[in-house]
Amino acid sequence: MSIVTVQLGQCGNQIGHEVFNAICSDVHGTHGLCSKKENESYHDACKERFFCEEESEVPVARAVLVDMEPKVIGQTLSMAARSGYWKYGDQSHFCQKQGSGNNWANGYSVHGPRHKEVIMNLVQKEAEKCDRLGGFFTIMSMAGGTGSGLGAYVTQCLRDAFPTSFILNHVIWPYGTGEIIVQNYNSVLTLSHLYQSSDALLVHENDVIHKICAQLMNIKQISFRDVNQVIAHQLGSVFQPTYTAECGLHYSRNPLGDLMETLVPHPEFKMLGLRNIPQMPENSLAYSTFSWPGLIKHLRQMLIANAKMEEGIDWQVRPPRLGSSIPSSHSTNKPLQFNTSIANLVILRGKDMHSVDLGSFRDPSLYTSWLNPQDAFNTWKTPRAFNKYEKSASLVSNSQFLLKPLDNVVGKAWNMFASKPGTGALKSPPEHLFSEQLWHKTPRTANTLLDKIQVTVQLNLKKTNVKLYFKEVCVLLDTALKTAQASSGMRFMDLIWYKKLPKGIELLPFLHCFQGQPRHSLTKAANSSVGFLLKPPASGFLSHLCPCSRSTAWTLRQLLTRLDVELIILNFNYSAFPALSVKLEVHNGRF
Amino acid sequence: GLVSLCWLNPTGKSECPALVESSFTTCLLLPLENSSSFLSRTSFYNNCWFFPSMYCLSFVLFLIVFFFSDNQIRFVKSALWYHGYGRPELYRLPSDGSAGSRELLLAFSWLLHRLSLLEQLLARNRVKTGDETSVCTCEDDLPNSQTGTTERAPEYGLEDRVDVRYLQWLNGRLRFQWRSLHAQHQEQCKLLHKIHLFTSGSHMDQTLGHFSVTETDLVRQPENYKQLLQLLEFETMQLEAFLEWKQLELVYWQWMVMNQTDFEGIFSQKSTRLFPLPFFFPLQVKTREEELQKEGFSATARKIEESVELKLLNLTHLCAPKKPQLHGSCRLVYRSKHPASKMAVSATEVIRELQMREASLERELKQLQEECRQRLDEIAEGLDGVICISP
Repeated sequence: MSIVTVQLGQCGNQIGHEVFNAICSDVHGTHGLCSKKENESYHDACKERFFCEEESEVPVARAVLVDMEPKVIGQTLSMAARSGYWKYGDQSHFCQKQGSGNNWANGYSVHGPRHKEVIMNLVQKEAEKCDRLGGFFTIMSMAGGTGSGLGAYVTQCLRDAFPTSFILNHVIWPYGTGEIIVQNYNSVLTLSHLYQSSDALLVHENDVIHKICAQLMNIKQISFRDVNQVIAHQLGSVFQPTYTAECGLHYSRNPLGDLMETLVPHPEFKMLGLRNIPQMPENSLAYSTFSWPGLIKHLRQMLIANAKMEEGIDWQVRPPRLGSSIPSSHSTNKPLQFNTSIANLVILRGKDMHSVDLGSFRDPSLYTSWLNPQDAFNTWKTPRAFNKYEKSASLVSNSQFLLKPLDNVVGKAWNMFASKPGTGALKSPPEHLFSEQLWHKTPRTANTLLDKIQVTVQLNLKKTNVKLYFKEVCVLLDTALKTAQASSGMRFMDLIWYKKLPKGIELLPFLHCFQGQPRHSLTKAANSSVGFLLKPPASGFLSHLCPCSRSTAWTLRQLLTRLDVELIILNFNYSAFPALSVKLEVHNGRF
Repeated sequence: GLVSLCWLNPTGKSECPALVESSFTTCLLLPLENSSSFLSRTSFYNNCWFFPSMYCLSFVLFLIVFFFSDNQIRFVKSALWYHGYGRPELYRLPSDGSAGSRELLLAFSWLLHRLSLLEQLLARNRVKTGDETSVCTCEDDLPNSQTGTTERAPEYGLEDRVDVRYLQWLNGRLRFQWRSLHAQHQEQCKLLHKIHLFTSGSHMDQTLGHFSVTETDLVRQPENYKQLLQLLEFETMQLEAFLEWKQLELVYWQWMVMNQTDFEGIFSQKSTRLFPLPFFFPLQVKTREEELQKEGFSATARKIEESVELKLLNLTHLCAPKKPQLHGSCRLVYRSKHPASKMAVSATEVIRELQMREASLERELKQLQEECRQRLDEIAEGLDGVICISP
C-alpha cells in the first residue's frame, strides 16, 4: 500500500528530500533491536509504502516534485542520487523558470491552471505505478507563493481527480517574525482552501522546531537543513510501518486511512499537531537510557500543558475535574491553559513496548464531552526501533495545539489589511464616536446616544431582499481571486473597484468567504462584537443584526463604501444592551 | 481488449428474483390419494432428511425435531418471517420444541420451493476460482421514499440524547472505512488483471484463455493440490446427491400434497415483500401519461418541459421490456476478441447500465437535498435572531 508524496515549493522539496533520507537510513540501519524476521517485514512494508522497485538497483521514491524555480529541484535530485541508497524518478519533477514571488494569487490563479495538466499527469503516472494507492501526502509551506498558492490548487485538483483517496497535507507554519511580508495573508488563504479539499492538515511550526534544535539538539548555528532534519525525523516516526490493531499479525497496509479514521472523522476539526519524544543529538544517544513510564508521563504532560518539547514543560497544568464545566473563552480573562483534545494517537517504537501502560491517556477529562476515550484514543506499536532511538514515542493530536498560532496569524492578517493605506481613512467622526473605548468606558453615555442616533443605509439597489445582495459579492470575490493580476502585492480586494453589484447577497456567506477561515473558527470573545444594521430602502425596517468580529466589520465597511453603500458600524456589547430592538434607526452619522 | 463476463451456473438457469412459481402448479394437478401410513412417512424421512449437504436453516430445522433449543427455535421463526412465510400455526408453536414436526415439514417445503434452497446451497459450496465478482443491476424493490420525507424524528427523552457531533464523528469514520474498502477493492481488481494478463494463452480451455486465481495459486504452490482435490471431490458428491434428489423430487411433492391438507393454501400465499415489478409499474405509467396530457405544456415553460421529459424518460426506461436483470455471481474472463457464446455479458454493457442507474440515483439525491434545504430554510425563518447559512 503506497503513499504518493507531492513536494511543493522550495520548502516542500527540501523537507521531502530529508524525509526520504530519514526513512531510508532508518531502514538500512543496524539498530532495529528486533528479530531478523521482524526487521525484514518492516523493511518490506516500508519499501512498498514509499519506494518503487524498478530495473535499476536503487529504489525510486514515489514522489512528484513541483516548484516554479529550477534551483531547489536540481539540488534535491542530485543529493538524492548521490546518497546511493535511493533516488527520485528521472521524469517525476516539474519546474519553471520564474518563481512565484511569494504571491499566493500567483501560485493559485496563474501557475495552477496553467500547469495543471502537466502536474496531474505526473501524479497520475505515480499513482498508476502503485498496486494499491494508499493516498497522497503533500508537503508545503504556508508562507511562500508556490507552496501555499500552487499547493492549495494542486490539492484541489487531487481531490477532483481522486475523490475517494486520502489526502494528507503537511504544512509548515511560518516563523512568527518571518521575513515574508505577506506570509499571514498567504497562510490564511492556504488554510481556508486546504480545509475544503484535504482530509487532514498535519502542522509543523518553524518556531517550535527551531527551539528544539537550539535547546534539545544543542545546535549553535541552526540552518534550514537542521530544522528539516528534525521535521523529517518526526514525520518518519509517524509514517514508518506499525501494527495498528491490537493483535496485528502484519504491518498495517493502510496508514493514511487508519490515521484519518482515528483522528479526523469530524469534518470541522482537521488540524493535527505532532509531538515526539525523545529528541536529542545523535552522539548523545549512546549515553542515554529511556524508560517507558518516563516517556509516557512526559508525553502526556506535553499534551495537557501544550508544551512544544520535552524541556520546559509546565507541570502545574492539570486536567479539569470531570463534571465541572470547561471554561469557555468568553467568560474569563485567564488564558486557557489546559489543552483539551478531540482525539489522540500515540505511536510507540522500540523494545518492550508491549508492557507500556497507556491508561493515563485514556482519562476522559483529557477529551471533549461528546467523545469517550475508547473512540478518541488509539495507539500504534512496533517492536522495531526507529532511527537508532531504543525507545521512542510520538503523539499525533487533534487538539487545541494550534489555537494560539491560528489566532495570531489571522489577527495579524486582519490588522495588516485594515491598516493598509489606500483603504480609506478610518478617522472620520462617526468612527471615532463608535470606537470601542466609548462603549466600554462610558456605557451610560453610549446608551443615551443610542436612543438619539438614527442610521439609514442607502443601498443602490432595486431589490429589497437583502439576503440576495451579498451572495453576489461572494461570487464576485471568488471570480476576482481567480482572475487575480500577476503583479505582486495587488490584493484581490482592489479588484472590487471596477465592478458594480446588480443583485443582492447573503451577508454571512460573504463573511465566511472573506474571512478565509474554517467556519466554526476561533474568533474573539463577545466583548468586542459588532453589529451590522442594514436597511433596504423600500421596507423601512432594519432587517438583520449579525455579530462578527470588529476587524471583519471594518473591512466590510471598506468594501461597501466602494460599492456606494453606506454603512455605519455600531460597536456594542450584546450583554449590556439586550434590548437593542428593531426600531432603531441611525442616519449617516449625523445626530 | 474486451472483458466479458461468463455466466457459469450449474443448473443453466438464470436467477431472476421475480420467479414464477412453476413447480407448484404441476403438483396441484396431481390426483390426491388417500393413504398416508406412518411407514410411508418414515421412509420419506429417510430419503429426504439425510441429505448430505443441507445445513444452515434447513439443518437447524432438522435439528429442532430432535434437539430443541429455545434460541434456535426463535431464530428459525424470525428467519421464516423475514422470508415471508405467513402461516400463523408455525409461529404459535411452543418454544421448547415439543410439538410441530408437521408444521416444520411444511415450512421446510415452502423454503425449498420459495428460495430454491438447494440450488443456493450448491452455489455457495462451489469451489471458488477467485475470479468471481458480484453484479446487480436490479432496480430497487423498495417503494419510493416520497412518504418518507414527512416522517418526523422520534421524540427523544433527555436520557436518550446523543450529541450531534458524536454522530458526525461516527459518520466520518464510516466514510473513511468505506474509502479504505474501496482502495482495497481497486487493488484486488488490479492484481486480478495482472494475473489474467500474464497467464493469457496458457489455458487448455480456449474459451477462457487464461488462468484463474485458484489455478495460478496451484501453479505457484503445487503441494496444495491435495486440498483442492478434496474440495472438488466434496463438490462432486454434493452434485451427485442433488441429482438423486431431483429424481425423487416429484415423489416428494406428490406425497406432500397427499398428506398436507392445507398445502395449496400456503403455496398460493404471496409474500408482501417481493411484489413482482412488472405488474406494478405499467399502472403507474398509464396514470402519469394521462395526467401529463391533461396539463398541456406551454411553450415558454421550457424548464418544466425539460424536467418532465427527463421524468418521462425515466419512467419509460423503467417500463421497457425487462431483459433478465443481471444478479448474482459471475466469473470474470479477460478477452480480446468479441465473445461468441450467448451466456456471456460484456462488461461495457454492465458498466453502462450501472452508470445510468448512478445518474438516476444522483438526480434523486439532488431532489432530496433540495427538499431538505427548503425545510431547513423554513425552520430557520421561524427562529428569531438567527440567520441560516445553507451549505
